Amino acid sequence: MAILLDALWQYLAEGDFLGFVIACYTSRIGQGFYGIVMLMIFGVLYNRTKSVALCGIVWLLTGSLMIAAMPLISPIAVILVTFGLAGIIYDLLEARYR
Amino acid sequence: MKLGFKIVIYILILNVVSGLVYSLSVPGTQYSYSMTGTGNAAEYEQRLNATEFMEKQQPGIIAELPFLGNIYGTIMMLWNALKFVIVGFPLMLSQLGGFIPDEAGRTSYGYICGVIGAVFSLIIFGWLFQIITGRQTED
Repeated sequence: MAILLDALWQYLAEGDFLGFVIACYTSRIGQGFYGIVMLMIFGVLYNRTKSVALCGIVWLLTGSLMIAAMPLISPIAVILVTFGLAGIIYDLLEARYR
Repeated sequence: MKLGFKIVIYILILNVVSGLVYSLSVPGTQYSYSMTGTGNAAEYEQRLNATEFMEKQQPGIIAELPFLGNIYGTIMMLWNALKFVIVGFPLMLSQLGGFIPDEAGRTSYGYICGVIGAVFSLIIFGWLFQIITGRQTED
């Protein structure tokens, strides 16, 4: 009998259908999946507000929340924290020299 | 501000903040690692055998001309001090890529980070070229 070691089948075997749908993407493109989901949300947010600082604050908060809640996907969370800090500092400079 | 200058400023800030995140050891950075462990203790013993190491690594021309070594060492020291300003964010990306389990995927990810680093370097050095020579190379 073959043992289904792949995370994709493990989710299905445990009856975790939401995890299975997410694993369809994460097993192929890794944590870039979370990045694409974030881009969908923050692309709309930036388009509506045109404010890098606002997006930066939300990135910082989301990244911190992800590190606390899901340490396994911390690389994408660290990128979010970096983008958040950089966005806030950039907006300060940009507002000064506008 | 012109768009080109805005891009340069954002890239500089992004690079410096990447260095800051790693210097401060922000929670989450401990899960990223730049090198993945491969092999076992016996393989390491073979690979890092001091006698074989010394036989392979014979002194080259640098050892005969010590001042060249000093110049090279100083340039490397300066580069180590400046590299986070120029390619800080791609460096952070490549360090975060250590989690990729697939060997081929990790290699291609490293190449992608290298390309991003090249683009960052081009933009920064283009900006320095404009400052030093006074020529305008962007609209």
